[in-house]
Amino acid sequence: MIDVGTILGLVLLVCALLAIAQRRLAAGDDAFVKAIASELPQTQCAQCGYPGCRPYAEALVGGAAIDLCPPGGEATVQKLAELLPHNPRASAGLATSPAMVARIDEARCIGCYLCIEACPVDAIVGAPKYMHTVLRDACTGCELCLPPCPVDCIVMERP
Amino acid sequence: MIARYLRPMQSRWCVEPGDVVRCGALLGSGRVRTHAAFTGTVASIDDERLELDVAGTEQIPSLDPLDVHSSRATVLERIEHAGIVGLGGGGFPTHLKLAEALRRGVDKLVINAVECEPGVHCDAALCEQFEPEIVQGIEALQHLLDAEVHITQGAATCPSRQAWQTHTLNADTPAGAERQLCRSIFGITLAADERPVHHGIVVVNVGTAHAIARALQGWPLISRMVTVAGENRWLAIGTPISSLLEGSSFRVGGRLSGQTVGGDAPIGKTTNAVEPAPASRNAQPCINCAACDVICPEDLPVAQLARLPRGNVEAAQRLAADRCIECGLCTPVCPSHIDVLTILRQHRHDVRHATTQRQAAAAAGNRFEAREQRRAVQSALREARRQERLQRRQRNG
Amino acid sequence: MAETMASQRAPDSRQTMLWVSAALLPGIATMAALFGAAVLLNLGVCLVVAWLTEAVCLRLRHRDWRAGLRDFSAPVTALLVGLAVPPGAPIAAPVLATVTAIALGKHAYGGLGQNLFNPAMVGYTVALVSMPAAFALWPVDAASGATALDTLKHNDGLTLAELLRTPAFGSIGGYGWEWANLAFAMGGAVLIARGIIGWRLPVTFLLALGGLALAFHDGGSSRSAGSPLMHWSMGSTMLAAFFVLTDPVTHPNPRRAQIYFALIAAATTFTIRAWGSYPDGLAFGVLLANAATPYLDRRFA
Repeated sequence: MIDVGTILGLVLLVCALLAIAQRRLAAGDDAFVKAIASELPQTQCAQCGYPGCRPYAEALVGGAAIDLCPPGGEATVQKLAELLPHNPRASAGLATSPAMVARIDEARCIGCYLCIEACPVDAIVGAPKYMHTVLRDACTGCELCLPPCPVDCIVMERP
Repeated sequence: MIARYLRPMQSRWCVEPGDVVRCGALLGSGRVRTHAAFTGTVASIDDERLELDVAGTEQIPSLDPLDVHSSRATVLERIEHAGIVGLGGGGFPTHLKLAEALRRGVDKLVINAVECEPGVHCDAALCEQFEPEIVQGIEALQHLLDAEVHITQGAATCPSRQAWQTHTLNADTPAGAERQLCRSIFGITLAADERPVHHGIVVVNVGTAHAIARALQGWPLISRMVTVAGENRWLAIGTPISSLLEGSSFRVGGRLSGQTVGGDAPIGKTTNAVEPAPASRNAQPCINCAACDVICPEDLPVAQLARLPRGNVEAAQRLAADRCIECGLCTPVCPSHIDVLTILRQHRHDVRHATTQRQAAAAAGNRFEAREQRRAVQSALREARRQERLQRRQRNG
Repeated sequence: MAETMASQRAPDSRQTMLWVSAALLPGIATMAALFGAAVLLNLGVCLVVAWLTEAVCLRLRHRDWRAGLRDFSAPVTALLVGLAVPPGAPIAAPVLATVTAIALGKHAYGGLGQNLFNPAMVGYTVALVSMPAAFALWPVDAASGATALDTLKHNDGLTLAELLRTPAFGSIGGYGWEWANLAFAMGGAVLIARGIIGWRLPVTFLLALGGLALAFHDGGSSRSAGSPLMHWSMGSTMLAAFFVLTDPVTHPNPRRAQIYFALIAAATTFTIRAWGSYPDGLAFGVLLANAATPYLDRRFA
């Protein structure tokens, strides 16, 4: 009976330790989110349904599916699967598209400022009523500037 | 004859199929400009390349001559407008290289005429035939950078002046590579992530200096010296190699670091030599003999890299694949006839690509965070102003 | 000049293998003179079985078996196995050793260049632990008797000087083996001179083995584990040092890694020789060092 008592005591002790550890580690969520975000391509394209890469990383910690990131493709899914082995996958495969960057046809730009508002990574420079242009090195190819443009003067092209 | 032009990175075509262009006309612009070296009609364009149906081969300068002593900005702009890239093989846009050198400040200008690879001696022919232009190009660079001039030469003799220091090197591969030059001339060993400019050195190929002199005379970069199967010829860029040599595939570059290309490949800006493609040899399994490790001038674990499956970028990075200078010494020493250089090139490319992507992603993430913060501050300010207005209205009303 | 350098292409793998085989010849001749034609018979059996196994494995792996046979790696393995198996052992011993060496030691890993362990040592070890009796006895002067290594291990009354006067010993080491070791060392020297193998690995191995022997020499008393000279001239020390450890596939390339590799092999060999229950520890030493190769390669790259 002493043996059973000892084991039960040990079990309780370990459970208590685990519970404390979980509380403590929960405080490290921020670092975990950062680690996950560093595996995401930082396109900020919002194709995952979250408003950017960091928000998606936060959702991933909360249990979101790991295959919602088309720019990252299968490679990102693999990395996320390593970090978050219990998260679900939404579908069997993930189609990836080649990296593209946006270019503003400057002759047709009317300087409406809408694309600058839309760009999640400040890759478009310009001022209202003045011509805008895309900083190619800074563009992540998220295509978020395409829908707001009233004159459809933005095209995606190979870098 | 169909001349072909490959689209440089971060550049785009600025003509349409059917356009009639004269020699020297701008075909592509962006990071590097591309000019037509012939008069003809644009036959087809796709993302990768442009085909020009050649009507006339006569070349004429298409830019206005420029004085050597023009302002730095004017000379740099001319180098950019002439579409000049490093003709030694690197192909990096010269105006960007020089702009960085000016920004960081350099005190040593190395004019590199060391040809250290069997099968390439176009620079020797250039030095022999175009001495005045080369001298003019070096003077222009000296004026631009205000640096002390060092000439490095191997078997060939580069034009020289009293004030310039000439270094004659034993031209064993890869003596002419810039990292090796920094070591042999100045005794500076560059760290893995350093370039000569970090030590106040800028290395310019003698062919590039010649192209700069021609740019000042009004010529865009539309011709260069090429060693065609051992014979040096002044060729228009875009010339199909198949019009020079018989065969269905060719080796572009020297006998160590050259690459085999298909029958429709053209002479490009960085093509220093072309030869009929060597007969391919059947590769046998790697037996880890380490002959490649021993000969590697950068002391890379070549045998491990050669055995590493492509796609394992993390391992390739750990093994420093991005430090490969692509000298090509590893391939001929392989007893199993493995094309080690090609494998190393792939690893190097993958690692560099992954590194750039990671850096770009980190920068994009930071900009996104900064924007979020900015917007939060803006909306908080708006909210505060709204509250203020409400309170004022309540007080008044 | 670069021109000449590029035209001087390296010898291909096949030539290397032929050179290694040629360098084994003096040792083979010495062994044959000592132990009779049975040595040659063993080698013949191993060569035939090796070629057959190689061909069958290549067929099973859907490779061109004719091209595979041309790389001459199987004969080298066969020669090493054949020299390790005692002459006069039942024919099953060399056959089992060779088949295991080629099939399990090499092709199971994906063929030439992919194996983790030296194939010849894999084959030898499997045969050794499967049929220990066949490996215990080496014929000395027509009469089967214990080898010097065995005598030394089980000795607890004689000093080293007295041991050297027993029939199992020659003037410095194992009777006859001292000449075989000398012949293998000469072959190894030729390979080093031709640049086919490096000097660092064998030299480190031999120095480490000698150093350990010196440390446990105990003034040559009856408790001594043998002198350096004895260890260099007993068993297949030189064969292992110059022909087995130097197998490029299974040793690490970075210089410092090679030092550690040789140290592991020497320490294991000496431990088994002095205190283990097997007559010789070379094969185990080599295999243990082989097992460390991937780590050493990674650590010192």
